[in-house]
Amino acid sequence: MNNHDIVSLLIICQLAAPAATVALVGVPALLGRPPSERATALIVGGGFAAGFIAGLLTLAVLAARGFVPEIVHLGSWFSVGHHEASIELVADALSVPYVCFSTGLCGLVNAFARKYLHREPGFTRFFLLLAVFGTGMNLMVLAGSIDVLFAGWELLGISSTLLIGFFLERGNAVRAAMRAFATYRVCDVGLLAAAVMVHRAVGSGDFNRLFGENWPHGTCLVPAATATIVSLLLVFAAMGKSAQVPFSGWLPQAMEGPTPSSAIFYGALSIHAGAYVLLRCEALLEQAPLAQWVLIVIGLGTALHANVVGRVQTDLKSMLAYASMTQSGLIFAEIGFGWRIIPLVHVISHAILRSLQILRSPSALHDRHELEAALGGHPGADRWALGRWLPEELQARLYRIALDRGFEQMVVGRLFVVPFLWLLESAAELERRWLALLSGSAGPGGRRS
Amino acid sequence: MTGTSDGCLLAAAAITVAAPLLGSAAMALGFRRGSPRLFVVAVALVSLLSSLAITMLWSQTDGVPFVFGDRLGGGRLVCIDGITAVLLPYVALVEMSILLVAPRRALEQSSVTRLLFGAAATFAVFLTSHPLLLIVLWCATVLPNWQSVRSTPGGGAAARVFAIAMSAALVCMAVGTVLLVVDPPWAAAPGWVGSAGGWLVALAVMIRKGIFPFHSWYPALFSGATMSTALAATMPQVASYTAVRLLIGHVDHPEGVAAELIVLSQMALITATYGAALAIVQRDLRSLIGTLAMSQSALVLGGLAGTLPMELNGAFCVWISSGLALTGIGLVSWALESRAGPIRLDTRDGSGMRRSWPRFSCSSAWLGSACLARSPSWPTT
Amino acid sequence: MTHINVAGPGLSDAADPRADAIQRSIAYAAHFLPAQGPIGVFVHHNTLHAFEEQPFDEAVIRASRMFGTEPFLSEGRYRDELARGRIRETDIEAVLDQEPACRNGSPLAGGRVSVRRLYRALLLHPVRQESDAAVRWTLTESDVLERLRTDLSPEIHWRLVSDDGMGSVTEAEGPLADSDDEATRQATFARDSDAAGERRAASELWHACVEAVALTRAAVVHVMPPVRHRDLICAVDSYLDTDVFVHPLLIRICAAFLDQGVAAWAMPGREHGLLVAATRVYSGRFGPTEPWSARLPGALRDIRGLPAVDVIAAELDRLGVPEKDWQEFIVKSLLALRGWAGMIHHLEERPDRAPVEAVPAKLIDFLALRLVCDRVAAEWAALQLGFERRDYENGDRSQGSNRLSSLWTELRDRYPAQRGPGSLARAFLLHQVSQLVGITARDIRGLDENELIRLEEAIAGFDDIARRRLFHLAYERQYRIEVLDALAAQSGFATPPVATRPLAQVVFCIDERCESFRRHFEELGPRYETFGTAGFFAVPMYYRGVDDWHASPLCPIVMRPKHTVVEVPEEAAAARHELNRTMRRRIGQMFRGGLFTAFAGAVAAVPLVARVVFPRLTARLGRRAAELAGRRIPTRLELDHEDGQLPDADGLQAGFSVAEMADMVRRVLQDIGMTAVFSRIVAVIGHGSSSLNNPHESAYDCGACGGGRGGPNARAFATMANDERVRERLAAEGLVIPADTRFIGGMLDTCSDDITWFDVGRLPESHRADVERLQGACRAVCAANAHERCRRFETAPLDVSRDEAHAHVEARSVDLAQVRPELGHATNAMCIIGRRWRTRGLFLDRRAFLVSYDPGTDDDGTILARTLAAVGPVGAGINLEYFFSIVDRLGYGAGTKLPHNITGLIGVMDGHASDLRTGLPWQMVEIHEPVRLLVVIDQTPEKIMAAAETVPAVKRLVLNSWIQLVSWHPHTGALAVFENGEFVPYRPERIDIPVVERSVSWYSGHRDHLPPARVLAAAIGPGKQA
Repeated sequence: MNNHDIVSLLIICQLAAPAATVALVGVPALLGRPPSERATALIVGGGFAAGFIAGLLTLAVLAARGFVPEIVHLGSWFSVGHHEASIELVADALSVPYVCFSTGLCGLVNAFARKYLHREPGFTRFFLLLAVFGTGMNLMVLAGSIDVLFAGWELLGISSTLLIGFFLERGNAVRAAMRAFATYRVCDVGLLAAAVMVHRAVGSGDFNRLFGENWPHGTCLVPAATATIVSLLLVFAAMGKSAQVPFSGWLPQAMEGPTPSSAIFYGALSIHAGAYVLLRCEALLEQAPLAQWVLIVIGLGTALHANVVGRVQTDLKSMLAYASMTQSGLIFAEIGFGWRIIPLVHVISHAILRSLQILRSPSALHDRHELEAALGGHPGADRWALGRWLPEELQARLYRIALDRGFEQMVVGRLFVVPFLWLLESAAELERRWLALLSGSAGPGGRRS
Repeated sequence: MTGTSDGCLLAAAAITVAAPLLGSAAMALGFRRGSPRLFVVAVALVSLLSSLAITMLWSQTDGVPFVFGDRLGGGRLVCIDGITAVLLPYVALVEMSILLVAPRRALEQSSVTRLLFGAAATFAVFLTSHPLLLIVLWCATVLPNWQSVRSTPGGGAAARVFAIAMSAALVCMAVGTVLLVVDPPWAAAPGWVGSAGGWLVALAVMIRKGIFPFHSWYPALFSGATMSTALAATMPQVASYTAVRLLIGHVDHPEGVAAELIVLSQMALITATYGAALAIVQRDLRSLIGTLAMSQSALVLGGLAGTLPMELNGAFCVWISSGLALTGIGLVSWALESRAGPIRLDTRDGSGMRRSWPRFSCSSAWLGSACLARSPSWPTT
Repeated sequence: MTHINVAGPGLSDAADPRADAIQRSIAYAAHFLPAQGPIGVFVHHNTLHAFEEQPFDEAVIRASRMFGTEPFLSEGRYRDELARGRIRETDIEAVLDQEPACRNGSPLAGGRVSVRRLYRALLLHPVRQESDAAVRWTLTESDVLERLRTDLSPEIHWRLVSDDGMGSVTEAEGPLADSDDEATRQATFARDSDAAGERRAASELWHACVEAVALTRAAVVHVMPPVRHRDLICAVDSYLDTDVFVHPLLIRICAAFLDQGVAAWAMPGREHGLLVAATRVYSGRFGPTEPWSARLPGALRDIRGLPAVDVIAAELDRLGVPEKDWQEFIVKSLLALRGWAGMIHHLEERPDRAPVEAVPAKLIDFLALRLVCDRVAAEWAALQLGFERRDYENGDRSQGSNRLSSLWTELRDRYPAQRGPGSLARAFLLHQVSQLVGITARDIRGLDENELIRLEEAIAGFDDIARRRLFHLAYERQYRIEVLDALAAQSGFATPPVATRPLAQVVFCIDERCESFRRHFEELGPRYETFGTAGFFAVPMYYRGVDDWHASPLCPIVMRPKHTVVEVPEEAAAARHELNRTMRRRIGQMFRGGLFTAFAGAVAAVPLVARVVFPRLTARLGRRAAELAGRRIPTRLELDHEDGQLPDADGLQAGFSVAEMADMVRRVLQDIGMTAVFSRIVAVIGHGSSSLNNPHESAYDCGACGGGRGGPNARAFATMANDERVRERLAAEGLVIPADTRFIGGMLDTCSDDITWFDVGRLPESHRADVERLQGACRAVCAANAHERCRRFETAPLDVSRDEAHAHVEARSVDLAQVRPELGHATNAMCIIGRRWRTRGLFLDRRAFLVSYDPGTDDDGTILARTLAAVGPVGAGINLEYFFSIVDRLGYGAGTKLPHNITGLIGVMDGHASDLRTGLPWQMVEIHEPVRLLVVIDQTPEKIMAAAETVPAVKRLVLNSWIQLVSWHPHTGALAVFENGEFVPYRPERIDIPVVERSVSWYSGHRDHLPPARVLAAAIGPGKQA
């Protein structure tokens, strides 16, 4: 077995370890005999640990070789003529550190949740979804082609949605899950369309055929027009998952799940998935100044929006959600400026701190007490100066904007959701009438009856 | 060697069809009226096993279709090729699951007789490529379904819609097939007769498959008939098979029928989208399943009517996977329904079946992962 | 606390009778709102306090209708308890004997079955009562009609099978009304043509039952339609739930209004009250709205400047609610979002309990705002229902109000009547019950119509609530019997301590978590004595610790302290303290910057990993670091009131005068009967609980300190009792504390099982050895106590050693991921008020509040009265809060902790926008057994009644059976249970109880509740003196 094989094996292990835990926990659970709490947490935690160690080893090997990317070809989905959709993993200076970071964090949350969810009815479900999430995350990060990236991206979306709706018996949780899912799906169209465009442009979804393989020094090999369109589509896809304006309304609502999942999804990993994709395609973005500008505008706009809205949030989790959103907006802007290492550091920094904050958000009263003692007084409610300087009328207006979360719900609802639903309802109504006519029964039996 | 193999294949095909047919006859004569489940499941099991045997025997051969009987318009009385080998066990599995989980109430003499007869006809459809036989078998599959819809309490309206759609489809099918046989468009330069035949068959397929704008009977059947009838009538997707046999190119006539296929695939995609959209605003589980099933089966036709081998493969995958998934969902909801009455999706205390779920699941159907997304709404796990 | 201007809209001139009615309705409705205050200071109280005037079992049922909650545990749960022997058949028999219906009801079914037998059968055997569809399914899919039940007694089985009166199997007269029912009937009738034996009996009975129900008509229940528009609209179209539209907005506004400092930008104008602030923010013309709220800004503009009560009156008119329904309408409207409404009401009543700054909260403002939103939403919903069109056609298009009022009347008229169970369901029930009580087909056929109706009514009347009520009584009875038998056995065994001087005496809080601690302490030997008294040790005060920024009250919630006590650093350490403070402030300000997040955040990886993976080690390191940095400095309490010092602005006096101190010390010593024998060292130990990531942390603290930690009270008490001036004064009053007796204060952390001692350095050299011995003993006891507690934690192995157990509980208290740092008051079930020696050596499984009380020193009952006044409501409050939180963990309790989200520092929501969750979270109560507090008092029935009469709060609880009261005669040891207004002598069922050497040998290896046992090591028996 030569060096290359060992590295390939390590890379595959990073993906296979969490995937295997899905099967190990999921299959017995499906057969009605879920493993005990202890076993579940150990299996899933073991998967993450194995992935983490494999990641570290890969990192060491890569570092020793000066970060020359390693590509693992796992086979081909299909190929027609010279057109091929291959399944490839890539280990380079971006993906391997990211895998270490994400599996490490997953493992940590696993350790936390093991105690936190003790005796909870959905224990197995939580860990199963966590394992699915870890698998999806690693698949997305290690993806060497846009098709594989899309698969990982989808796993992320599904596990995220199901964890938001973890408490099935509560209407709010289900509504929030639905909202997040709808946003994801709308934005997924961007990634799907981008994948199709890439296939058309270079006859394959492989990143190395698209823009070299040497992150962060890749060069784009496609014409500028294609690059611009693909970049814009990718930006659109990233906006949903990273909660950028105007697709950010789901994020505070997503805090309906159990705290550990909120920490890992909306403080740490899922929220940065969009940024990761953009970083991965950095070379493409460089060819597309338009997309970069769009990115900067969206990022800064989101940061401003989230900053103002976050200031009036009165519950801990919403506050943290908007804080996350602010930072992810800034990260988008940084990517838009063409930086590579800075946003990466920012992502990792922010993710770690934010997940700690979310994990200890139920300690707010405790912390508050500490803070008061430290400051020798209460930190004061009116500490945002702008709020007091404005004239009263403007204050009320700005406050309402912030309290109504930038009217996002209303705008999106009025412009898209309501007309869309109206259209569907009308279609359904027409169907009913048509059916009534066909079946010869009396009059239309609508909901008004 | 080949001789024995062919003989075995033929025997297995015969058993597959004969078992339910005989079972149906036995039921009609009053055999085991009291508790028929064991009997009918055994019958279905025989069919399933012999269909599996067909698949295995087929996989031993080198890909040449096995044909038997007279030839008409490029079709044979018995035709077993890759499509049959894949789809026949699937159909048998669907039929058996319906019989296996049916509530005892649904297993009374007449309905079991009909169900088994319908199953036999459906199996026969999948074993032939003979145009005229196909017409006859269409009738044979439709009639028992129509009867059971009609005998369902409150199913009168659905039965009428079903009857209208099916008779239109049958007429189109019959006329179209005859025209096709008279003037096969793939044999020579197509005349108007052949192309009219092609269009008529395409129309029949559209109607039988619930393609927009002929889709209304599809959800109506799901809300008006019992789940077993609805599933047995729709899940095998007889019309898709017919389309494959009569319209789409294979060894005998590689070109297929071009223009009709394009129209078919466009309409199918529209239906897939429209069905998913309709499902978003449904308020009870049955019509949700009905519209979703309509959307997914249209997706199958969309793929079949494509031109690339990839699309064909994808269509078969969707055919089987969505068919099994929807049958599963249908059967589970049937079981729940028979215990707790009709399931509405908007009840406020329905433990998880909240108003949001249909929308949730259907927005996922847009990209074809309906079953995966649907699972959380079940209160189990 | 900022002083606030409470004038503003809200009050109109009281002359208006309509305004009066509204005010009265609001006051009435406010009773039913949850009384829980800000979560930082969690005070246990009876969840159904508003119903205390009614007898317990009526009240819980009535409350369950009002709140839509469960009155008792589920029937399935009780049946499980029955199966595992927690409820015994004898308990059920006893409960049935008490039931008036069983004693007086005339027999049913032509005299064949007594009511008691029917009830007994229905309690002991589960009968399926399901919806019509489910019954049909059961009938067709299972073999219930083909064989008899398997749980019948042999006689009944024989009787049913040998019923010879099977006439011809006849078809029922006419088909059943419902077509589904009829189809099922035919299916079931068709199946049994030539059956024999059991099968024939079952099927014959089924025929008879179907014939019987065909004779009578199915019940149609006409329910009173609800008053709220939302409920009426939902009944028509469940998609149109206007609360789903209105609540998020209301929650946002209320949270912003009440916020205590989570948001950086406070709601502008909130100093003018909720209505004004909300109007100011939301009435602007700017900004899009959601579809339903398009007319909300306009509606708010219209009410600008109006008093709240006028707004309410106007809205009620617009909504079309007639005046006679106002009260119910207002109650229901407030209850729809009762957590928030309750919090507003609470802060209106007790602005001093706002954690940071009081806001002018008014319930009437909330109601006015809610009604405006409700009306706007109802108008929109009416449009969706197509009401507007019809009204236009009717000609009146002038006012929106008419539209709405017609909506109200019309929807109420259209409100669907509820159909009772269908014929088949009734027949099936009759079929099941007939088998259980042994009625054969012939019997049924022999009954006339009236008899049938009576039988059916009796069965239907004994519905699940009635059954659960009886189950519950049996459930409580089993525990009561178990405890009373143990006490009766104890009467003959316990002996008073001989008058040797004890080695150490310790005064604890009455808390049931101290029971195990006391027992383990007493297991050290007969010369170790313990006492229990309410854990604020009669020192009500506002207390400000050395690091605290403001003072908080430490006394029961019903009291308002008049004194402040401040902890100050010793003079020698003052400079050091100042330095520490400056450092902390600097560090505190540094870390609050936003830039820090962006790039230095990776540093957080260290605490993240450490906290999650090694919680205990991290906490230890943290403490060690704090010690090294000199953070802990010696302090003292400023207890003395200096003469001539005037009270401060709030009327509070700094420190206590000597007379006040002497009063407090005397009072405690008298209460607990410690008046003659004093050891050289007396420890006074308060308690608190420390845990992380736990918004409900203060619910684990001392209830007698109003959800605070009792350490400062214990410390203050010890300091006072050591004070020479106080002792002189006490001696003058006849209470002589020996000169060589020293008091020492301490605090027990009930979560980590550690005791912090106060002012050890202040004790004289002569007592050094005593203190060290006491501290050593307590360390061992802490470990033993931790060991006993660990048996309840599933994550601690059953064979854990003492040291491991201690480490385990310590880790729990500092673990971010731990949702059950400790189990709090869970399992509390009884309260014993009396001399400790009578219960000493009894293993009570941490379920008993133990109050020291000596009937010998209390001739006139005044001590008992004041003890009851302090202990009764607190104990009952804790007990009943746990009771209801487990009975309905979503309706009364706070649900699971996992999605809890602290909002405004005043409460928790589920997720991002829900009602404030009041009550206790599931993780706190999951192992609790809901039984009413069993209060056993070491006193004669007469004196108990006399004492209870003088305390109205206790009298109410006793007379209405919210607690179970037992008298334990101080001399004869006879027990008497208070039932239906009188004490009934109790005759023990058995007099032997298990005897074990030490507690550990009784509890080890068990996780469940354990019955009482006698622990020899702790007892003062013959030959036990050291």
